[in-house]
Amino acid sequence: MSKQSALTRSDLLDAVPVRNEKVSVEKGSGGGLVLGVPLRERWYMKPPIGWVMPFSRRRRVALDRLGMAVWETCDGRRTVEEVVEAFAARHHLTFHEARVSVEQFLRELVRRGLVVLTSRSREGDEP
Amino acid sequence: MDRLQHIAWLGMRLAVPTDWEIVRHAVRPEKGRLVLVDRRRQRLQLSWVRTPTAPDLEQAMADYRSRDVEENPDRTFSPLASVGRWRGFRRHEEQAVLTRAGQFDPRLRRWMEVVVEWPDGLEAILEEKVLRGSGAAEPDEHSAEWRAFGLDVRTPPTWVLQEATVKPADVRLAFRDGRRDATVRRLGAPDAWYDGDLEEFLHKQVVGAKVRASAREHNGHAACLGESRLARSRLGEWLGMGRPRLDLVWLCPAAHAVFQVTTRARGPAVPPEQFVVRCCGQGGGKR
Repeated sequence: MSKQSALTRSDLLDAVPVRNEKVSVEKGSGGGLVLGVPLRERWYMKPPIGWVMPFSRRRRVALDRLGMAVWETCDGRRTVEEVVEAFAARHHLTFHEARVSVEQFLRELVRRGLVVLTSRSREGDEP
Repeated sequence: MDRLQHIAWLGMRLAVPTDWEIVRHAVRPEKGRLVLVDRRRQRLQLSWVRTPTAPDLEQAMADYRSRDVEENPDRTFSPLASVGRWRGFRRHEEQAVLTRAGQFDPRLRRWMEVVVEWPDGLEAILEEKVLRGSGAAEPDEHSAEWRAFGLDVRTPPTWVLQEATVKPADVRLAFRDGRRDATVRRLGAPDAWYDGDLEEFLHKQVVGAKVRASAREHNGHAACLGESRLARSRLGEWLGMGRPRLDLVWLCPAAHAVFQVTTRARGPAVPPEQFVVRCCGQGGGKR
């Protein structure tokens, strides 16, 4: 988190949001999506406690239509700036209005482990 | 880049590129500032302070410049040709340029200072357009003009801005005139939340009072006027007492926004139409 807060506005706009591959996606009510992110297995989730109390192995996060639109634009290729542009165009918002909303939403997705932000140059360095 | 938007705020005007947006604003005419950014960095700051006497403009800018030279000895400075009432100078650091200019408006009794940043090099034509389009607005004895954050409003002259609340897709300007107050609101992204029923929207907005809604037309769009009374008690409500509240709401498909004008008064109700809100070129004649 501290690394994230050190990002400048420019760094953040250049970052590429990449979805967590382990996230499951289901259709939700009202045209949204329900994302399931696997939870780390804690000691109390294992048998015998786990036999008695069946803990969920996934945290579910419901996205409304706006959230779904942003999630779908996070394709691992587009930068945050491009995601903001797409959101602004879709909802006829100014860039700054869209930026505030999208950045806030992306931070929440990162916090919940649904998305990571990478830089394009690092992505290009990968074999 | 040369497409300009015109901002009107507290009796001042600004002409800036359309992709520069306000991120800080003040509502007091005595002292404050507007800060505008492009996508990545700060581009313009307009600050103002009310002064009882006119300062010596040339001397004030010379003082600014010598202070700036002292603080930044490794940078170069050049004079700025006067544009309108603006006098100032430029500061250069490699390709980045900073334009700093000041002026005093005798009518508003306001000292105004503008700082424009050109991180990728000076755009002289744009600099002149920005300076020429900025300063004190032409006075209008019949109304005051507010144009910012996607809102374009003309208020009766005695109304004073109290607060501006700016959230993504939800901008409110609150005005007051003695015991009367009014709010002008612009709600964007209606495709995400608005189901097309203005009356239902109104009922959700007015809490704790019965609303009598009637359909009408406003700015060429279907609109809804809500009349209610804000009573302090249930008894007051039954007796028809309380402050009259009027709400005028409409959807402008071209502006992709729902507009709402609310007036509340102690005494006679204030017609919301007194607040001339332009949405898609409609509403209130030539500017």
